[in-house]
Amino acid sequence: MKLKVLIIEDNEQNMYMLSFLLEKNNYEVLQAFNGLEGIKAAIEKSPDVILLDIQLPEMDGYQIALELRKRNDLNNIPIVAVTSHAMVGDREKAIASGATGYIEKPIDPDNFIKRMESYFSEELLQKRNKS
Amino acid sequence: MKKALIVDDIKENLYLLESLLKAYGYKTIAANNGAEALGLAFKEIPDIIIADILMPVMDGYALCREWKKDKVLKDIPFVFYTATYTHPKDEEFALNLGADKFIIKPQEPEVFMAMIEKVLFEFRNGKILVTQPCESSEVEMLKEYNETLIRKMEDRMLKSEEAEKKIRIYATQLEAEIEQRKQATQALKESEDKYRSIFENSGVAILLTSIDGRIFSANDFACKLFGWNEDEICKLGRDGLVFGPDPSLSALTNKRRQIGDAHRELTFIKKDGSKFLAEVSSIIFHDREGNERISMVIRDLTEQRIAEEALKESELRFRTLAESSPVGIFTTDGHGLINYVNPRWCEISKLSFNEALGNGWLKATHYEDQDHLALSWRQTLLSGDSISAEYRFVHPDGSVAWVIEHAIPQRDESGQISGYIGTITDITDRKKMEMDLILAKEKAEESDNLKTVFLQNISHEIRTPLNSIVGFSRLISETGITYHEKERYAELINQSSDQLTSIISDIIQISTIEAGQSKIQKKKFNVNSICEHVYSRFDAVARMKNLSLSYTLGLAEDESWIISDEDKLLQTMNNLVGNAIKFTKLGGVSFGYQKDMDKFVFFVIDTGIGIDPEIHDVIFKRFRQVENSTTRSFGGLGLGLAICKSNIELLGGKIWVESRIGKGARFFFTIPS
Repeated sequence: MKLKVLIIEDNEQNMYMLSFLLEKNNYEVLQAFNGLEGIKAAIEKSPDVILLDIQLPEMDGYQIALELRKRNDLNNIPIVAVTSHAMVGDREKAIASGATGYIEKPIDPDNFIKRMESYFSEELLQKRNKS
Repeated sequence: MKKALIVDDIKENLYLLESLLKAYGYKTIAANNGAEALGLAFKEIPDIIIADILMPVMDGYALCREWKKDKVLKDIPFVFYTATYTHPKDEEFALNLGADKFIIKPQEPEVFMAMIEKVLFEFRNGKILVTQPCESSEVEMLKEYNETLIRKMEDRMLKSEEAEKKIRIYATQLEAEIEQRKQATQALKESEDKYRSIFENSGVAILLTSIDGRIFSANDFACKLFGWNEDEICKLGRDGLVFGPDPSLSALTNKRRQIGDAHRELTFIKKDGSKFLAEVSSIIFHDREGNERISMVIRDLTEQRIAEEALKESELRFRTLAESSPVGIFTTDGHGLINYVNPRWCEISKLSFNEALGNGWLKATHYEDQDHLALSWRQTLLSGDSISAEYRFVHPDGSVAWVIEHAIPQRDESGQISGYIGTITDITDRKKMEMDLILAKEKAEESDNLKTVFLQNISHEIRTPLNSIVGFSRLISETGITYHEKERYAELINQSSDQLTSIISDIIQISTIEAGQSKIQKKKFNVNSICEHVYSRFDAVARMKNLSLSYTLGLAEDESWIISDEDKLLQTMNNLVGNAIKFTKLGGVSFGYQKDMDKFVFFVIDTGIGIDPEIHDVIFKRFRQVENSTTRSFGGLGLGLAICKSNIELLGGKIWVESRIGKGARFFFTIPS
């Protein structure tokens, strides 16, 4: 079974690109264009990984991460912040909000998947290998 | 000449009566007692007898009895003249014995003489019968006689006892007085010794002189002062010591007589010929013989004069210092009330000397400073510490002077605070500089902060299109991509490149503005075509967001010409319309212009999220994007409006916004036609 990746991202171009890369690497993609959609999808569709943009309308990525981490059932899911907020302190802020990892934009299509998977737990990696 | 026989045992009484009777032309015969009187009367018969009662040898009553028994004498009037009358019976008894008149001492001489004359007159004219001796028996007579005499004797004894008592008291008093005199004499001697000692050992020169200037005595100090010994001084006299004549001497002497002492200054001359000024206090007094004497106390003023001169000079120096000091100087009394300010103080505060006095100065201070200033002074006065304070004077013209005040307590010998002395320095310039510095620092900090935010934004804004460029460039070469997809990727790459170019051009432009090198290039162009151009640029974008986009032209095509900077106007419109679309989700954007007198008024109206009126000014500042997470999530560098404002101002116009949160925004700007 394919691993499910929830992408929360408002920029269509980015969404398209991330989806393209993930599908090409044998992931199932769930798309959400804002925070509320994202949280709803995270609860209802039990994704295996969440890719999270930080700069979003209404509810930003930090807030979304904080909300997700409040739920016990979502506690162990890797949340990887994918963001153009790449200044000093942005990474720390993302981790403090509950993100597992941090990948800055512009992404490198050649090793984006590898970087994402570096934040997976042992269990998740095994599940990924079986898929 | 009438003869009067007078009988009294007291010489003075006899003498008085003799004198009185002689004055009235009588011849007098004096007797000391009854027996003597009888003897004299037989020798020379008198015309009248005047007798006392109590007498030695033979008393008055016995005499009267014998007198009236005698054949010759009984026709001579017998008059008692006595002070020992104590009882009405005395007179009755006397008259019973045959006395013709009983006169009580004392009597006025005229009255007494009138009585005597009357007795004689009546005898001469025989109007009164010769008093016959009483018929009573001899025994009765003797008994009564004895009683009367005993009464008289007892009376006299009583009086004697009283007199003796009095004498004894007098004697005691006299003894006490003698003792007192002795003591007084001793005290006087001691006092005299004491004063002599004071005189001799006094630390001032003292001369004892007569009124006319002779000197009787000079003390050691005077000898030392003048350089003469006492004998020499006495020989010289006052005139030999005083330099030149003493013009005020007689007036002074009068004054001394009136009020006892007098002071003046005199120049004296010493043995070595040197002169000195001295203060002379002279007191007039009387010696034991009652002669007027003067004690002259001479105090050499040379040193005092030197000290006074020095003090004067010192005071002048300090006064000059205070008067011309570049800092304000003030002094207060022990209650902190001002009692002196120097001219510089007045200049700083713009108060007059009198206005400053007491608490007057406080009224001229800034009302915000008054409470803490009054409190500081109260605490200072309680603690006795020094005080330092900064406060403001408000001048009559409303201008403000900042001052710094320092004051320290002045204490008297007992350690009590007698006042404060303090300075004020005008620190207005320094304060202004301080405030400017603080402002500059705040501005620099703010600017630094803004630049950090700006850099974060820039990083974000550049990364977003870069992400697309990098990503799609990579995807375009992937296998299994359709031609259609490739075309789409190429277009996305182009769009992102444009976005990136625009961002970089904004940055360059704002740098040019920052550097003050932004120039305008004026040419004639058509405003309507600008609007059409803007519309065509954003039509597709608005459509994608389901927003309406419309524009209104204020003039016909052939009238809508203007001479201005076309690029800057176009950029401004693009920025405003682009922003409006960016911040609007529902509704739409309309823009356009109207001709108003000598200017074009452009507008861009949206139905977007709106802008808090509090930040209407801020949004036009460089590097500012409305800073909260909601609006920040719209992205952008925050340079657009700053560039617009700069452009419009360069073109000679104004730009502003009317908006409230949630109510859309209406941007306006003007350009001179």
